[in-house]
Amino acid sequence: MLSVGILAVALAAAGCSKNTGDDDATGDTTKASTQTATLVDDAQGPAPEVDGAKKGGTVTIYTSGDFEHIDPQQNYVVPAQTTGTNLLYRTLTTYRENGDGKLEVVGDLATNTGEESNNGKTWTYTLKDGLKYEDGSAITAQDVAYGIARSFSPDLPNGPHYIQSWLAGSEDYNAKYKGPYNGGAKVPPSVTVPDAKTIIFNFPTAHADAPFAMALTTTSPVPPARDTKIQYDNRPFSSGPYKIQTYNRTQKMVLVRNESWDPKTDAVRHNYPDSYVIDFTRTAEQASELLISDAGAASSSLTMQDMTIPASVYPKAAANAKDRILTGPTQFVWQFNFNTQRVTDLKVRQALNYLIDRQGLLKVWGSYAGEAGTTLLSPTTSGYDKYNAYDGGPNGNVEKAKELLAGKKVNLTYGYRNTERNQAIAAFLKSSFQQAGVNLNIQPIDEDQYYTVIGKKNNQFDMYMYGWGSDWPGGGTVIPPLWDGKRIVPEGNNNTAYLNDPKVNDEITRILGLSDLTEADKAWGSLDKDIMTRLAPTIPAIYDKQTTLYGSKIGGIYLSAPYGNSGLNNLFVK
Amino acid sequence: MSHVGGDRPSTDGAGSLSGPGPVLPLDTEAVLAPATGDEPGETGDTTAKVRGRSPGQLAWARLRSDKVAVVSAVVLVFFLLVAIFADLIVSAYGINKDQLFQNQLDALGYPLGYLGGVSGEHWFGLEPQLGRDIFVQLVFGARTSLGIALAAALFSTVVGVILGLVSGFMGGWVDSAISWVTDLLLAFPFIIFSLAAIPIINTLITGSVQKQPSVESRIYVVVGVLVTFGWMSTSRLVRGQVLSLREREFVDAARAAGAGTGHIIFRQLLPNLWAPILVTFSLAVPQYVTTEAALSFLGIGVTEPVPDWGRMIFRSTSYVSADPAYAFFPGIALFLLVLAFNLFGDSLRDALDPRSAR
Repeated sequence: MLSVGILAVALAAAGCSKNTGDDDATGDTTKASTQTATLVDDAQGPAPEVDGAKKGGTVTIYTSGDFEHIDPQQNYVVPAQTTGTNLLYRTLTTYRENGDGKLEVVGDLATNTGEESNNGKTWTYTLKDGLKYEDGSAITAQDVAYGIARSFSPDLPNGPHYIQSWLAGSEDYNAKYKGPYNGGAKVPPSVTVPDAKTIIFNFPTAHADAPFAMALTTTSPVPPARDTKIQYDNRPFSSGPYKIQTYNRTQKMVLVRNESWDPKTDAVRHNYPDSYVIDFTRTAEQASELLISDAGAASSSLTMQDMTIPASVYPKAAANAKDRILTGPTQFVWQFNFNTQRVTDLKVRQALNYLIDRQGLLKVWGSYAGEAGTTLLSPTTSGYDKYNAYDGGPNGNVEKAKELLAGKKVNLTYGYRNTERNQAIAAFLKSSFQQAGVNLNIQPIDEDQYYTVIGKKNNQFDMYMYGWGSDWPGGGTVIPPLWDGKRIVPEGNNNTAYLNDPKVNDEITRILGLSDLTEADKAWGSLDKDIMTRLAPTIPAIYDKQTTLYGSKIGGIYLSAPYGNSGLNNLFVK
Repeated sequence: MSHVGGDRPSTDGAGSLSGPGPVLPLDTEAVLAPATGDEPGETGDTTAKVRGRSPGQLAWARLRSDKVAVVSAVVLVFFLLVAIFADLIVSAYGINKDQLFQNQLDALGYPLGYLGGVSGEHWFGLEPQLGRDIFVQLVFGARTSLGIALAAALFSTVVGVILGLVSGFMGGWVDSAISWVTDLLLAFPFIIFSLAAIPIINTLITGSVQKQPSVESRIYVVVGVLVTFGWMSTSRLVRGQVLSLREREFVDAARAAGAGTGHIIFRQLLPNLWAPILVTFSLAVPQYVTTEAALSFLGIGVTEPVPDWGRMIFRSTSYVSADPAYAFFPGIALFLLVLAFNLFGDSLRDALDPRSAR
């Protein structure tokens, strides 16, 4: 009885006010601006002091579930990447930004962003002086080479594969070299290390965006003596401002200062807080509620981007903590891919592109967490060109869709990753498509199996949702992985639309060979438009926005453009 | 039809083979009536013929006079009718279950207007984010959830009764074996096991991870899992009752008269157990409604787009602070259902066995 009474009172209190929908609580409406990163030679530390920053305090960061891989050579998920690069280990190059829109690439372990020669095929990096690990020993170029070498190992298959493929000269980078274990060379093919401070990459083909690739954690140094292979996830060896004190998998990770890190060698990072606690045990709802309350340790806490404020909590957050919401566009684009091997009728794919009700979808998604998207490239990616190949208006055009379908009875199977939010999206699509007579049969796929299932070439689904973010600024890490038909393999595909169009494949190869990045950007933008207009292999749906909370004592927080997460390098406790 | 003669308790072991044993209370009115030869008006024209009543009729009379029982029975019948006639009700209401009314939601996806969008058109308001009509979802959801809960309660009661009867009466290694299985299954953490087992069962049914099971087979799997983990309490209860009953004289008498084990179990013991069986059945149904709701919430029960009461309730609990109206209507409905079942179960127990404290 008591619970009913409480509910009734709550209902009366809250429900009796009329919701007129007037207050636009969707928060920050800053338009996404395209990131153009400039390569900068000034890599001298220390990083400029942050206004008002002082040393001390403990910062708690909430993220959803444990890091799958904090091992730098297997690290490929944003929360782990941010923790790794901002706090735990350094890379040959890195990004310098503070949220004011300027994005630079600077040398991190290296003195600059790389000396290019041989028409973009050879890149030489010289390490700075005074680089040390957490035990005071020196970081050498051999260690950087070793880190890259172990990333080849089939035992460590996760993580990005750009550098490995570039060095091997093919997507099948394991064909000849399988890493340093079982007697393999400690230096990968096409890499030379003439001395302890120099590393040279001799790529078989030119790669103008090598400075960006070198910011990936693949280039984090690993001393061979400390390499525990697949156990390295449990205790990576630190080269950054913090080191791991304790790591209870699935519970929490505690970081303390690395006394051997020399700020004079680092142009980007700070070590203001005494320690960090990464807490894996909360749900997005719980973490958001804690941060709204701002009580105790929550006042010096924040969340990673995987804990977007849930729709059920957002009104409370907007009412009570409006100035503690970090929001802004990220590099991710969500789209509904057609399995073009099964949905072969172009008219059907175009009809559904006219039919999609993006405004309604955003109401299900959470309108503060995204914007309507109509292109393959995100507005934050340089080369983005705004267009809408199938403009059905914000709510979709049922008539136009019916016209294109011309009375055909369409039955499609839509697979969705089985979470509450995705269930709602699936139900939304089903109801929405029914208006044009399209019958969507929605099927849940286990959370942990989803990407494995749809990544199989012969999967049994006609449509599924897929999200992708650029690995570094520029279309070169978006279009090729998703739309190059030559990269389709039996399992583990990113081209889950299974598009295999010869013109597109050739154009991708051509653009990847361009040495002028600005020209390449424009070309990616044009290819984006061509793919959608000519082939419509997907329904672009939402440009992702990060919307997370942080505590009142957190200073120096900003939204990182390349990672789409809070940057951690400037954080301090007020 | 008077059964006075045959029902008279006798302690000399010569009980009738065709009627229930003497555990049910005496019919005091019957004792006062003439034993046989009921010529009407024998003792005078103004005396009405007093007819004896069977224990069943007595129980029914007691139930009927219990106001609480009547009210709760009415509520239960109401829910049952709603579930059975769901299609008719909804087509009269005029909105179908997949219709979205997102233009009546604000920018964040919350219903405009009062009380979560309650209006003449939408009696219980709209769901946030999706904008579906809550009344329609509730009516169809009641059908799904009640159907599954009733089926599960029925089958688990049948299984529990049979196993309880057999293990209680036979004793020996049969009893040990069945008790061992009971204890084993009771020790299983139900939700965790379901989380692991249901996807595996679904895959076994369809033959591949890629193919997904149909709605019907999902429902059968849910009922199956609920039954597998639900029969134990009934079985234990029945076993306990049987253990006390089997030492009674009427059982010895039946055996002396040549009755076989099966006859004794099903014609002598079982009729004495109707009371506790009916009570556990009526208390089990609401429990299955909530358990099925938990499974749906975890995504292993009934999935979208089949409306499900439990799933709606769990979804609404996240919205309690932002949109309490969403939780209100399905919550109240479930509360009423559970309350009605519990009250009816209690009244039934009282009516069938008034020796228990009222």
